[in-house]
Amino acid sequence: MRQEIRLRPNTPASYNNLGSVLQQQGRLADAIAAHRRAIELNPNYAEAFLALGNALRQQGDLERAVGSYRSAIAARRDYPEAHNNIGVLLQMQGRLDQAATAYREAVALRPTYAEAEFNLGIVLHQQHELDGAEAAYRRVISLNPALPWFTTIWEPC
Amino acid sequence: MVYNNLGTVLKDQGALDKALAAFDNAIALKADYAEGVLQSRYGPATADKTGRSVGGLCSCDRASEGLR
Repeated sequence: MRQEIRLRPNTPASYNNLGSVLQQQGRLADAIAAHRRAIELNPNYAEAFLALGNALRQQGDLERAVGSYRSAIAARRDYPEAHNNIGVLLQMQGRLDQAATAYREAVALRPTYAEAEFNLGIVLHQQHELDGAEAAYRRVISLNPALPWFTTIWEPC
Repeated sequence: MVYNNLGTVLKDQGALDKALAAFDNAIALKADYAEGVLQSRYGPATADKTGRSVGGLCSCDRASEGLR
């Protein structure tokens, strides 16, 4: 990866990939710097904004992470993963109405997005909207009955 | 697993028979799921010369990471 950057120093994707690897290694400050460099080189790089948001989230900076996810959506309107990830962070902060809205936007963009539908079911259950939660879970079962049961956030492999 | 969550909602709704059915599905699926996860991560189980079960090579799969 670093060789790739040395050969092609102005490639945003190289910095974004480097950032993802650094994040997996737990080197969050370096990962954030790499993602930011990718965004400097391509200010409309939606995937880099999402990856930056994930690194910021892992660092515990939830507000900036949400901001980065929103930037991802500004760069790419049809980005259901960014809506889902916003929902997860809002849910963690107890902002349940907003989290439900974010999940609904994710599902509206991709009706087969079982993880976002599952997260919607969880937040509706937390809000005691039992009929809505049941409907969401039944849609998940029709999509992927073996989905793991934790709240899921999307990260690129 | 989603059947477990569905069962909890149904229980909260007072639909106890439906909740039990959902929990039964969760239990049945969980057994299959656990086996599937083991196989995807460690490969099909094989046996060594002593007959003990040993795992295969680890694949590079990565499940969606949850906020746990």
